[in-house]
Amino acid sequence: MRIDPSTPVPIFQQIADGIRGAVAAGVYRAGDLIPSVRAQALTLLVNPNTVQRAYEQLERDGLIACKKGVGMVVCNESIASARNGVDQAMRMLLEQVVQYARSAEINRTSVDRLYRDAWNQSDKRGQSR
Amino acid sequence: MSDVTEFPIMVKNLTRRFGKSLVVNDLSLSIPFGKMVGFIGLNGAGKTTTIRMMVGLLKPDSGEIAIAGYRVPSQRDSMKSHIGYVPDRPNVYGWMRVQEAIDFARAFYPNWNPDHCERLMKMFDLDRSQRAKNLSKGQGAKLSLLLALSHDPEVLILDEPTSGFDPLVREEFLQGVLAATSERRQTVLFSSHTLADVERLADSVAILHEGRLVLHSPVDSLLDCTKRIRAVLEDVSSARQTPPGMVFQQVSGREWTITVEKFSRDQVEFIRSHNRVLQIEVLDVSLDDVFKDIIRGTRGAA
Repeated sequence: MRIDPSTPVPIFQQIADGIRGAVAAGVYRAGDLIPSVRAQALTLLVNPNTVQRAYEQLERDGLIACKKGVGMVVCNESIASARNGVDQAMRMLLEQVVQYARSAEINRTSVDRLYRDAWNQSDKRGQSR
Repeated sequence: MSDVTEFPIMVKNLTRRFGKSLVVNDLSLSIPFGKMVGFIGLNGAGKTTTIRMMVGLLKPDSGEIAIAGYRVPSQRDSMKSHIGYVPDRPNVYGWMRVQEAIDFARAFYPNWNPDHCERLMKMFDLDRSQRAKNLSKGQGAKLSLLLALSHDPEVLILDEPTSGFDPLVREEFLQGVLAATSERRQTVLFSSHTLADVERLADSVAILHEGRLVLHSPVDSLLDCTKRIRAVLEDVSSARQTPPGMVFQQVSGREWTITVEKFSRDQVEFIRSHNRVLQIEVLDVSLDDVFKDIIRGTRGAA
């Protein structure tokens, strides 16, 4: 997970999204412990209160739960709901892309091509790493 | 005084001139217990002067300072064992070895905590036998931090601690600050030009401009409540009506960007109903954006 303060997305939201993504990808599975607030704060180099805020959001959303004397664990039904959350975030981003394309009068064929290019670029970067 | 323990760093109506120039101008700032505050401003805004007055190295012309409950400068000597201070340049004699610098510093503090010092030695990976002048910039800064923290101070004051560090050392140093302070619940003030660091680490941010405090706010609520509203103007030449709560505005071609504080939908409605605009969108901002717009807005108003 990477935190980038220069983007307008609030840091707590970046952390929450990061964990949601990690659960969806199977990095954390049901019953797994996620790092403590303090450990997470030190790894990501952010204020512990910010991590706390992210965890509270995930707890409210039912993705993680506090297990007494153990810490924060990933809930049983989390994988499906994390997938849902990630899907929803993707849908919102793509809607923005479509809206932007409409206002800039870029047609659907061009957007399809740009989208494929973006995937290819990303794959290339992945291989060279 | 009950409010001194509640606010371990407290400054009231602080003023300082150098010759004719007013460097710190009627500055009041109270930092609650256990909070970390990022102190930001342009070069020459008065940050270092303020900090030097706080730690008793410089006398104010007027105003009050209380650090950890002690009045500065009158109770400076008693205050010293309750604060840790990392200045903007190294404060260790170059010829001293790391261990010698530690032995030297510990003599000044009745409350020196050898166990804590050892823990920090390990955490920062310092070599006792190295001479201070041979330490890298980052290692030198870590030694300063170790010396500032080993007596378990209630208050930690850092003056641009990471300027000129490479990214790796910066990260290690800040990790050290975070690890030490989150464990001990210290009250921390750190000045910085790196707004990304302030956004990451600070509970709240204090913005100093031309010697005056223009803002002191929790970082999260500041970022929650400050927005940029971007509108496309139908007619660039007609007069624009700006909404209440505007901090800064900018027109570039047909694009009109308005930064507002205490954002609400009413501001968007105001812009829409008082101006001929085609499209309107609300954007989140980073601390970097907020800082620049506040400073530009202050300049525009002056």
